[in-house]
Amino acid sequence: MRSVSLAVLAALLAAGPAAAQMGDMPGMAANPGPTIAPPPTAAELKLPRPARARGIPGALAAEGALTAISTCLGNGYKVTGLVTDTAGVPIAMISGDGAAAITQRIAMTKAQAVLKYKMTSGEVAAKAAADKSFAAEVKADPMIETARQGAIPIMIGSEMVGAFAVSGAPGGDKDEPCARAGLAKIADRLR
Amino acid sequence: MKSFVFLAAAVFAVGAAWAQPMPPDNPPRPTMAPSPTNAETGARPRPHRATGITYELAVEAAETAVAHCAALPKDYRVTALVTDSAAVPIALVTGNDGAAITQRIAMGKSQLVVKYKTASTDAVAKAKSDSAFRDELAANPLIVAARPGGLPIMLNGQFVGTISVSGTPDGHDDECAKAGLDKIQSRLKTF
Repeated sequence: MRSVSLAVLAALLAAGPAAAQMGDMPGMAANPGPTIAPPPTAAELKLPRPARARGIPGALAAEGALTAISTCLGNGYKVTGLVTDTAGVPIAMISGDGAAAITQRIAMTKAQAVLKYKMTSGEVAAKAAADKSFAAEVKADPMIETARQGAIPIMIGSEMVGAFAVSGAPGGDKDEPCARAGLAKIADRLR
Repeated sequence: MKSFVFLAAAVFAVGAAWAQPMPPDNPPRPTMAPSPTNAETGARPRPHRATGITYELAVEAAETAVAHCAALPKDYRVTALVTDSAAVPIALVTGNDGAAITQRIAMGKSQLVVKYKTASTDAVAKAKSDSAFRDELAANPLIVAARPGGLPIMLNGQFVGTISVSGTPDGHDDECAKAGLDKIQSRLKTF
């Protein structure tokens, strides 16, 4: 037991600022690293701010994400809904009450898989299961690593304008219907 | 016992990831943290959010803040972020074409509010006259600097979360965050 405590202590020390932040939360199990990257450095702040890639309006994104969350809640699952633009920048990210914090980062991996391969993340997972070199490519991408079902492309006609991801149900096959319901709610108003 | 080692490994992995030097400044770092490792996704339990407001109220406040900024004469495109009391996002909404970097800036403001339990404008004022405080902020990679636009969400004297806005270059972030919070203050409920 002592060696375990020492290992935890050593790991916490090594983990530095992120872990120190977690240590500020008495009585809480540690969350696995912040969802959103740290604030920009002074140098980053001075850079020109690039125009956003194609995406859908913020209000529609939030409405779709809320619908996905309530759909999953109706099935008994507490999830995060994430809508991104075509560059993977979030437009709306909403976590339902009781959804695990890590589902936010998992949802992002699904959205990245959709955007990179222009198919559902479930199709990416199926392809990775059947194709070793493709699986290795997925694993080598630090924004994806593991392909998981639960995200779908947002299409206007034949053009992809973003990704809609859900995470939190016990299995991507249970996340994807919620993403589809969320997207269906806003599909005829997309622009 | 085994789970302790697992947790230690996960925490260590997080620490290692976040301790890495910032990548080159261009292109800017993605908003969201990279894919969680298998150790992180496998770790149990998966902590859900700390005490925070319910997600529907969070979305309403965020959308109100974004709309308030968009209705100002200069039509600001901002990000609004509502977090729980441990800085885990509940709702992140970015107005149409808001700069991606505003999402990370907003997160930094919420981290400051969580850590110091004060409006970020108060921290800005304190940092101006207190160089030790300024240095302390600069040394915290989750905060870096004090910026106006982050507010604590209080319910019956208890700190239950934050709302932060980023994206107005001339000092309207606070006003928009306050508009979002005012919209829901009388109905606040925690989860």
